[in-house]
Amino acid sequence: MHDDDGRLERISALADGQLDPDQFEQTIAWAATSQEACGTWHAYHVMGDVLRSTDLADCSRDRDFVLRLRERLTQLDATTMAVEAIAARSVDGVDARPEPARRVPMVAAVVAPVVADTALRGANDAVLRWKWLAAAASLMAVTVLGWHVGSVGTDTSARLASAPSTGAPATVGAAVPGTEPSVMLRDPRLDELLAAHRQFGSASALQMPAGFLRNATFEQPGR
Amino acid sequence: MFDLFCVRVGAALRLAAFVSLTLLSLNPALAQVSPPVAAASTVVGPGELGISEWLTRMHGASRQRTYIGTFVVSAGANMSSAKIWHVCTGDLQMERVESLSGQPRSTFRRNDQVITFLPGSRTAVSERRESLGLFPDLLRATDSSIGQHYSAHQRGVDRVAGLEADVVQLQPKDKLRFGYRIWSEKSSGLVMKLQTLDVDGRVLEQAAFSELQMDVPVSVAKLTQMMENTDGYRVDKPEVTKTTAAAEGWAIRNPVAGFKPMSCHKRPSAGADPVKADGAMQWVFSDGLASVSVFVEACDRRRHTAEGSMALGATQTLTRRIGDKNGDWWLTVIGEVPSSTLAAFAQGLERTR
Repeated sequence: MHDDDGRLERISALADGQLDPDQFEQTIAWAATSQEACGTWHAYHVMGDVLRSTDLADCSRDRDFVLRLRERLTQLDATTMAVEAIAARSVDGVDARPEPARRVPMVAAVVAPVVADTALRGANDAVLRWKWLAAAASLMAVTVLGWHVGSVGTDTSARLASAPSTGAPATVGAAVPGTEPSVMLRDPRLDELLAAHRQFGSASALQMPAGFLRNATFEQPGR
Repeated sequence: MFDLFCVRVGAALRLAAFVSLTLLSLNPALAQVSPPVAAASTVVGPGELGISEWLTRMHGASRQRTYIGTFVVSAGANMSSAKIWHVCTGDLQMERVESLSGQPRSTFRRNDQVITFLPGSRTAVSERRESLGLFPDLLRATDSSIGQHYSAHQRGVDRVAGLEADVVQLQPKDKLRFGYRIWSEKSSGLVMKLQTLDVDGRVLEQAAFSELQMDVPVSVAKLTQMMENTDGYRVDKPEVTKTTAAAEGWAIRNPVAGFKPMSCHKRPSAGADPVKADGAMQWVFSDGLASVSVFVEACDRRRHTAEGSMALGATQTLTRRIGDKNGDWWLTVIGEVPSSTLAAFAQGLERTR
């Protein structure tokens, strides 16, 4: 065990470029044959990437996101439970609900507590794996919810707001007067078209200077 | 031309005439193409400026004053802020916008040339924004519909970032467009604060200087040096091709009142699969204040699944699949207008071949 620890430390030193030629050769030989060594090598690089990247290291947005998601799911659960209760009382006993409407509430209800719990711990916890688990679980929940919105059709009123430019959809919680609470999602393609609208579509007498400053300040660099 | 202009609108518009004259003297090219901007104005009362005069005054401030400030944009629960450096000399305007929130980014503008540095990805996006040079044309007498669809009303005086400002409301005359409330700095006309209001007068989004220092020294040479220094960055130049909707086989059957076609481009999407993203047409409409982009691309059933409408502050979006005898198309309409206006564009669009 002790030997293993020592060899794992050498993987760390290898990643930092601190091995002398002999140690370097031995460690490379071991890393080429050991699955454990390969995994450790990869893990050190992931940690290094996170520590060097302010975007990845900052997980405060994860917590904000999960709080908004949980609040939204609370509203969604109440609505979908009511819909399910009505649908269950159909006269002929045949469940006429569309497929997504039958499945989504259950999936969301199961995923949401897991997401909230793990992500909140991840936001305050130095143990890296919780952040990754939270991020993966969040993405899963969002994908499910996005599908729910898409299945409703053109009457759906979803809302947009600032989203990370990771290429994955995300939900947000801005409320606008006069509209019903609704699930929100971001689509990377829609972000590209929004950017194109700002570039070529802002034909307004208010563009200078307020419109340009508004776009440059508000713009998401998701291009 | 300016003699006629002054006779028609009287003493109340002398200020606007002065600003227009200054603009024309700053840019000889404008003098050749622009009829008097005040000709597009609505009837104005004594001591009150019309909408074109207000807009000219506001625009003139950005051509005449140098300033440094902090700009804040808020929409719903989201807020962004940036530090602004603005300088003008002759017909040159330069701007630096340094984001203070979200991912780090710096935007530099030299007239209509814009470059955005994204340090996270070591990428710089360089582009020319034609819309930044549109202002005088938007107020031209024969083209403008601003005065037909909006009216200006002064709503007293307020203070923004420690400076006195006239509060002007631009009221839409129908429900196809949003209204605006603008705080215009008293001495220069600079837009200090801008609210976009929905059809019921509620604030959808607002942008404002939280702090502003006017007439402070800003170095053009230094901004130019920073703008041109792309060392260590990959420079992306989104490629666009000018086209017409007719050439692409599209027309608007029932035009939306007040919105005129401004431009039409085809563009691939930066960073996306060029095969899939190629060929998205962007057809831009404007009523002078609000603008709408109509995007049409071939429908890909794997990606284009979620029809619906969304909003980001004042910006609304509508996505819809439309079909014709040759197959399905995916329509995305984006604009700073009510969603019902976007729906009118979507319903009016038709394939002509």
